[in-house]
Formats: sequence, structure tokens, C-alpha cells
Amino acid sequence: MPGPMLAAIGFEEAGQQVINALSSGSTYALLALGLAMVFSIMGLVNFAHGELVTVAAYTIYLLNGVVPFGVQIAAGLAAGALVAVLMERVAFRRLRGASFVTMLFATLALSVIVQNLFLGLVSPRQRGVDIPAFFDGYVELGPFTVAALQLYTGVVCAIALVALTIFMRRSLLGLSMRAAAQDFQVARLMGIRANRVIASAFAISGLLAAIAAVFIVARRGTVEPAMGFTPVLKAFIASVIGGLGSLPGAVLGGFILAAVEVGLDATLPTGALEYRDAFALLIVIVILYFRPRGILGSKEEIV
Amino acid sequence: MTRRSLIRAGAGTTLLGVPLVLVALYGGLIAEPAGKRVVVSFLIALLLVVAIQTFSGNSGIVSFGHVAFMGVGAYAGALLTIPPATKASALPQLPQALLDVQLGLLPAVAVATIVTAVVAALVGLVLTRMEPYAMAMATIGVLVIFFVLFEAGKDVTRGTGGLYGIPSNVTLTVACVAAIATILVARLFRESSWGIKLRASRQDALAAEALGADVVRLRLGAWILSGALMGAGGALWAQYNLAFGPKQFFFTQTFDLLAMLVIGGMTTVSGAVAGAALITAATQLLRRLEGGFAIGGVEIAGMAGMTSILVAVLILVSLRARPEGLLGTRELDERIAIPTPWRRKRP
Repeated sequence: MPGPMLAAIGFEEAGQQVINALSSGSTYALLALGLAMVFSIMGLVNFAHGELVTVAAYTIYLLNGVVPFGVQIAAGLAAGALVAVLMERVAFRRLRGASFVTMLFATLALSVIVQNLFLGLVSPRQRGVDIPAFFDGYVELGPFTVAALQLYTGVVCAIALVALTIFMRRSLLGLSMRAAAQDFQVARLMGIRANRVIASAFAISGLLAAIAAVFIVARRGTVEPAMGFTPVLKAFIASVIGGLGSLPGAVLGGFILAAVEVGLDATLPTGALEYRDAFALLIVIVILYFRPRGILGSKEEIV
Repeated sequence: MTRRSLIRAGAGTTLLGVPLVLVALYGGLIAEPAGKRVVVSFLIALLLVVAIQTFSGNSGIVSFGHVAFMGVGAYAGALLTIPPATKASALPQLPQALLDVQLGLLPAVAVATIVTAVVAALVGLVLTRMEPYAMAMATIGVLVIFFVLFEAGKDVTRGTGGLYGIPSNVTLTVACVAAIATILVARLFRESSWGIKLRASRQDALAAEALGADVVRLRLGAWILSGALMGAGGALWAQYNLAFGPKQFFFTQTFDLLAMLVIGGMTTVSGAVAGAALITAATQLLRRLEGGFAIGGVEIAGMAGMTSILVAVLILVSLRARPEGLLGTRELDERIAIPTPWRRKRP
């Protein structure tokens, strides 16, 4: 009876692919959310966002074996948030209101600085990080076998997303951030402090990047100066798909990008797999062609 | 083209060309071989920056994808000039016609330019129909797509291994002539009615359209011209560097070239040239310091990556001080009063 058996394999494989997409999609979503938060409030695409991942990852690396892993993670999260606020204070504050291109270049320059600091002060080469056995192994989830790391990634990202939603909808600071994203000038007239709102947006984006960094390090088992590049590129693509500046759009875009990647992985013939990223970006261009502001983007002029 | 705009373009090219000829003379007559290399690389980088300026400066839309066209030109030019024997061993999968052909510098650059113009036209047909913001984002996609093609198209590009065996064709004279010619083309385009309409659309696309300008067509024309110049620049770049791989047509190259453009001032050709000169000078100066130096008796140890850090700091400081670029929004010749006897006196 080959029919039902094939169907069963098909079902399990499809389920496995969905799990893969959800797991990498949640990492993309966390990073895209950080980009979108900063963009919605000050109109800045932070290409140094990937360096926040690098900072958190190197904090874990430097404390590796010195303190328990939980403390390493806590320190990594703190470092991500702190460096994000520092970036804004040192590099971006003076550029507020400058053109889109000028601000974009400031963030690119900053990303070069941070990368080369790690290159010069630590090492240009990859360094190994000891990851606790806790992250290895597999969990049986009904008919599916899920890598423990994938499960943690999904669960933690879900918790972070829910917590962030509650924060943005219920707390005074969250409400003022949403107001500032709607209309920065009017929000200021209502007595919302610009510096505080912007610093909070950077702190949260740094924290989200650091959470993603924990899972990125756990998966790679290494750190290197340029490790933030690919994640931030994916996050950027995700937030463009969803609509730059839209928080739900960033999350949606993250999952769509992951679904497209996993779908292409599963369907492309072996010879064409090398071209996967080209296909993925072709789809992004098609989305931008028909929906220039992304799927959930606002109609307002951005540039 | 009116006489006035021809004179503007000529005056602008002369003002920028004379210092370039002086730099080239220094490179050819006085400098050591290493210094000469710097001058040639500078002239080629300048050509590429001016090529990007032709589109981004006049349309106001930043393109992150132009380095892809540099790559197309570089690969096309290299495949046409590598000796057949080298190609037979390195790229056995090439079509026979491409395996056998070996052109000189000029025909190779010409063919590479045409090929790149066609590729740029195909990409541009889609991209220029998009809104400016969406187009800028889509150019990042173009960069990544071509990078993937260069890396995965192993039969033609040798993938990450890269191409080698390119004959050394580009001399200081060739680089200098090419750079000045590119400046002239960029200035002629800027002053042409096409360029003026496009610049009007940069200021206000709706108003320009209301006055009858076909903005999509204007953008497409500038995009193809700019892509073709990029292809020519890429071909020359390859004939000077002699071996290269896909990584050289990705984000680092894009950042390096766009940084020059943004620092100098994107809206003018003079700005593009000034930015290229400033970043090259700063990089050369700082590279000498990378090994360590002393200030007032205090030894400062060198550090790998310090040049990149300091150049990036320079970019940050310069963006803060002059967000519109060092030269602002006016060409050098527009700052100097040029006598205009041909202008009719007002009644």
C-alpha cells in the first residue's frame, strides 16, 4: 500500500518543514522587530543592528567558562541593550532629521567600526563557544522530532513577542512609543520626551537582537566579527516585506521570508539550490513592485 | 544641447580634469611603483563613483545595486581578454566561441559596456517603475541576486575561486583618460535636457510629471547610462587587478564607493570626485599609521582594522558636519562666475 504511506511521509515531512520555518522565522522576526521599532520612531534603518547581535555574542564568548551560562546570557542581553543606547547617543542623536541616506550611511559606518574593533581586539578568525548540552538533543512532539534548540527558539521568541505586545499596549512608555511612531512632532507637543522614547526604542531593539544572538550563537557554536551581517540582511528583507516601520509587519515579514526559504529548499532541484537566495530576493522585489510599502506598510511617504 | 550647457559641462570637466592630470603626472613621473598603483586605483574608483552619481545624483534615488553592474562588466571584459589557453584549463565548460576569442583592451571594454547596458536595461525596466523608496530597497536585492549568480555560475565565473590570468592592459594614461571621459559624459548628461528634467523630478516628481516629464522614462535612461559606465569601469578595474572573485562585487565594495559619493556630495559630479579623492587620501595616510606611531613621545600600538575604523569615524564626523556632502549641492563651476557674453541683454 504505497499510497497512504507516501501521504504519511509527506505529512511528516511537511510538518518538519513548517517547524523549520517557524524556528528560523522567529529569529528573523525578533531582529526585524528591532529594526522596525527604531525606524517607526526616527525613520532610520539601522544597519548596525547586526553588530548588536555580534556584541551580545562576543559578551557570551568572553564570559564563556568564567561564569555560569545563565549569567553569560544575562550579560549578553544587557550588553546588547546598553550598546544600542550608546550607539544612538554617540552616533545618531546629532543626525536626527537628516536625510534618509545620510542616516543610513552613519549606521553603515558604525557597523564597520564595531566589526573592526572585534577584528582588531579579539581576532579576525572564528572563535569557538562552549554551548551547554542543554541545547543539544531532540524532543518528541507527537509525530515530529524537534531539535531542542528549535523548540527553545520558538518558545522564547513567542514569549518575547507577547511580552512586547503587552508592553507596547499597556505601559505608559509603550504607549508613548506608539504615539511617537504615529507622529513624532505631535507626540512631543503632547509632552512626550523625545530622547526618552528614542533611547527606549534602541534599548528594546538591542535587547531583541541580543535574544536572537543567544540562539544564533547556540546554533553556530562560534563567534566572528562579521557574524551580524547575514542576520541583519535577512531581518532587513523581512521588515521590507512586511512594511518598514510596521511592528506586526516585521513579524509577519520574518515568517514569510522563512517560509519562502524553507519552501524553496524543499522544492528547488539540487542543481538550483545554490541560487536559493537569488530566488528569495526575486520574490521580495516582486512584492515591492506590487506593494511598495510592504504588506502591512503605511501609505505615508518615508523618504 | 544648448551652447550654454555645453560650456558648463566643458568648464566643469576642465576644472576637475586638470587636477586629475596633475595627479596622474605625479603618479607617472615622481611616485614610486606603490604610489603609482594608488593613483591608478584612485582614478578607477573615481570613475566608478561618477558612474553611480550619474543615476543617483540626478534622480535622487540611492542605488545599492550598481556594484552588480561593475561585476557584469568585469566578468565580461575578463572573459574576452584572458588567453584561450588559460580559459581552456580554467573554464572548460565555456562555449567554444567564448573559449577561442581574445580581444584587445578597447574592443573588450566596448563589448563589456554594451553587455552591461543590456543587463542594466532589463533590470531597470522593472526597477524604474517602482516608487523611489521601494526602488532603493529593491537595488539591495539586485546586489544580492547578482552576487549569488556570480558565485553559483561556476561554468562562467569559476565561482568563489574567481577568474585569473587577465592580461595587464590598464596603464596610468588609460585610467586617467577613462576617468576624465567619464566625468565629461556625466557632466554632459547632467546639463542635457534629459538630465535637467531628471533633476527637476528629484526635487519634486509630481510637479515634474505635471509639466510633462515622463519620470519613469527619464529614470530608465539615466539608469542604463549609469549602468553602462559602471560596466566600462568594471572592465577596466578587472584589467588592472588581473584576478578577482564574486566577493569583490558585494557590500564592502558598495559601501566603499557609496561612502565616497555621500561624503563628497551626491548631487554633483564635483562632489563625487572630491569624495573619491578625500577617502583615498585618508585611507593612504591612515594605512601608514596602522603599524603603530608616536604622538608627543607616546607610543600608540598599531591594530589590525584601524584604517577601516578611522575612515568610518571620518565618515561619521563628515556626515554630522555636512549632511549634504562636502561640496553641497552646487558644481565647482557653478560657484565660479563664468563670463557669459552670449547671453542676450534684457531689454
